[in-house]
Amino acid sequence: MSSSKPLTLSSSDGEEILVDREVAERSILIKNMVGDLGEEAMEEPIPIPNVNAAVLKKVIEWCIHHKHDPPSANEDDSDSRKKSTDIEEWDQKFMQVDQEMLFEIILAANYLDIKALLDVGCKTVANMIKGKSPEEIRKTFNIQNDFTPEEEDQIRRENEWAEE
Amino acid sequence: MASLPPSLDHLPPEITHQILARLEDADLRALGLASKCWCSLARPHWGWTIQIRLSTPQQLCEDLATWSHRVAVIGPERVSQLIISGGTRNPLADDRKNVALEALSEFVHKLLWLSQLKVDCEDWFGDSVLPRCLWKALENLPPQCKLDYRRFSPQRVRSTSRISREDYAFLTSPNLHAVEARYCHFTGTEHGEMELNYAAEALLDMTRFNRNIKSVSMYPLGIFQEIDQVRGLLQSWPPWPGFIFPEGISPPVPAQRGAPTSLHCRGDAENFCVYSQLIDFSQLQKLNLTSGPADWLICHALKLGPEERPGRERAPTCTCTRNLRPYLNFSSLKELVLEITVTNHGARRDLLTSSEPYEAFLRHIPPLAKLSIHGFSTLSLFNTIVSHHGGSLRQLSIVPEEWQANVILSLPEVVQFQSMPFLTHLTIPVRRSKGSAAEVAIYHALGQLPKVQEMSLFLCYPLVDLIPYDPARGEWDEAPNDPSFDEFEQQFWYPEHDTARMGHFKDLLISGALDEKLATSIFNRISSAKTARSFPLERLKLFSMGGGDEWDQNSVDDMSLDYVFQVVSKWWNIERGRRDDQRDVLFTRLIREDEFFRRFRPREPQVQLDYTTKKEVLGPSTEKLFSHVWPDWQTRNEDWRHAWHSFPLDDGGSLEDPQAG
Repeated sequence: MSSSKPLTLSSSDGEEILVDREVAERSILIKNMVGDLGEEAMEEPIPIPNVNAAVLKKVIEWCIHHKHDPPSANEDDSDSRKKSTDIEEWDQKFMQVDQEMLFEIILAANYLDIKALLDVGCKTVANMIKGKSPEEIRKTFNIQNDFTPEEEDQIRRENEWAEE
Repeated sequence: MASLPPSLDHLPPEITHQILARLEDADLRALGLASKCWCSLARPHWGWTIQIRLSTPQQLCEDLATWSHRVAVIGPERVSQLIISGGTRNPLADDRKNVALEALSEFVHKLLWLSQLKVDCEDWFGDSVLPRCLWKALENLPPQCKLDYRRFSPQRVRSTSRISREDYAFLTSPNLHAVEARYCHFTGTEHGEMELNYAAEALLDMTRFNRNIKSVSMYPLGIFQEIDQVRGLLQSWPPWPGFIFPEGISPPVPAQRGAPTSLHCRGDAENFCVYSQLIDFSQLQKLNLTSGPADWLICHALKLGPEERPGRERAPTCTCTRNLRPYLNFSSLKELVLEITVTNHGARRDLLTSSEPYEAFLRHIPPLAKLSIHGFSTLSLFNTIVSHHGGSLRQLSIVPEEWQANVILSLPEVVQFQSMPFLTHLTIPVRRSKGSAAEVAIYHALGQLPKVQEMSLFLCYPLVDLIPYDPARGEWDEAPNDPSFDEFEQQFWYPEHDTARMGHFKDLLISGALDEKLATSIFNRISSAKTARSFPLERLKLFSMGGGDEWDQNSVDDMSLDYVFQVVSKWWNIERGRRDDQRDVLFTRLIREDEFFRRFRPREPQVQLDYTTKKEVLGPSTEKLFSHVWPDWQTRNEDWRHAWHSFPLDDGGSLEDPQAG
């Protein structure tokens, strides 16, 4: 079924990347674009203005690995909605990148409308927060503590009520 | 466009909310303390559940004052759940001026954004089903607030021909979403006459009349003896002669049948039969039944004759089921729990050949997402589950009977789970065989279930009465004897069967012994079989089972073998670390016996204490057996309770023989 022509994606920094159509259409944005503009328009490179070449290649790597995945099932199981540990081993390794790249991938997945990749990205960030103290979270994400001591004390006290 | 490199602080809100939705409350609270910005994002997600305990009026007033102040700080719009519980009998009985009562209702009515109010109080409230101290608090709740009332106990109320105005208002409340009723006994005898409990009857009728009641639990359901006693069921509304509605109330016309989405019922078949006439099963998504109701339901759903019923001894006799069949429709059912208890040995042997009705029922209902079978099960039942529900099940539990499993899964069965693509939670009994390669192969197969992240395994060493019975010879087939160990040949077994092969008890101890090292080793074996397309194993619970209950205490020269088995067959919870820097760390803890199966291990340990050493002394036979399995324990002068260990899993080479060393 992959007899259709490959597509050329043009990254924000001007690099052109050739991708199998089946792979590129993991992105709903691209899939809709192909549908809307028709086959002829696909002779031209498709501009992806918000994503640079390094990130785009990484996203394509993910799409190649997942090209045979069934379309994402509806979230019919409310129990699993909150889970963040259900990340495949391969995806976990894929997401072991520096934070800047991690957030770039998340933003690209959001822009390109690749729900499953966005989901994996959000779970990865959630897992970086889990079980950590506020200080550790600040350190992990380089967040500045801009609370006054009184404000922080007030919030802490509120949290203690929840634990009673 | 020069911009800051992306970071957590600069994600668009729709992504931030997706991340927050994946966090648990404690993590959201920690994140909210990171900075003002994160506080404003995470704080609206903080769940607020307030728990108020009914105790003395003075204590309650103090608690309410504290929480009123806190709610003013938090903001009432953030309090989503309130739990009212009570630990004393007849709470607030001495609140004569109603101060605490007023304070409680005032407090509840301040929480305008409540989504759930759960009442889980002691069940003794004197002359009314609804405790006096709650009457006012439960009135006029905001429309979105679902009331979940636990421990509704009509049997506490003296029989009366008149339901109280408050009880009536409560039962017809549009907020009442879930009721858990306990000891719904319809009748009592007073002055030699049958007393009818109107509160119980009203509750039952309200489950059809009040269509907002979606979740009903009845245990035990003991209301009806005969259909004729249930005046309201087959008559027009108002339901029963002599019933007087509270003044000023004109009853609406009741619905034909209630349509709960969740039903949990314990009790006997006849009572369930009568109750079934009040409800329409077609909306039911969750059904939890014990043997009696389950047997009845199966009979009628499948139109079985008396001979085909499961559990003949409990076969229901009620025949008043006219017009019922159209309502026995399970098209919405997603979750089923069947608790099939068979306590009598004879009955179990009958059932070993008669799980067919249960199988037929499982084939009759639509593919389920969650299924639990507690107690009785067979391999044939297992095969039905896999073939009919395997394609849809997310959670499967096959929980064995107390002490022992009458079905134990081996590799051929475990491999079948690989055809269940959505399975995330699995609870099953599996065959333990001294850590042999066959046992390791089971762990490997379990590791190949891609989405299973939570697993509970009952590690079972088969009992002798599971050795196949050969009807032609009229004998039990004996497993091969183990010539290396014959000291305890058959002497522990109950005489009428006499089927314990030599070496059985030694093997039992070796298989039963489960220490922390072996428990983590099993976790690692399962985990290491996971593939790149799998989710990681997050939690494993291990329950070492088998042995003790069946041997005849009277024929044993000392009674401590049972206790030894209890001591060495530990239960473990093994969890992967939550933090990203602890994902490879396993946290283990012992599971307390009362945490899972309160009924397990009922017997008190029967050992003597040596008063000079303060050590527990084993009887001579047990000591000999113990020394065979763990030879050096006495030379190390250790207390036997700390001198045992598990034997390692087969690592591909030959199994270590404890006696060889």
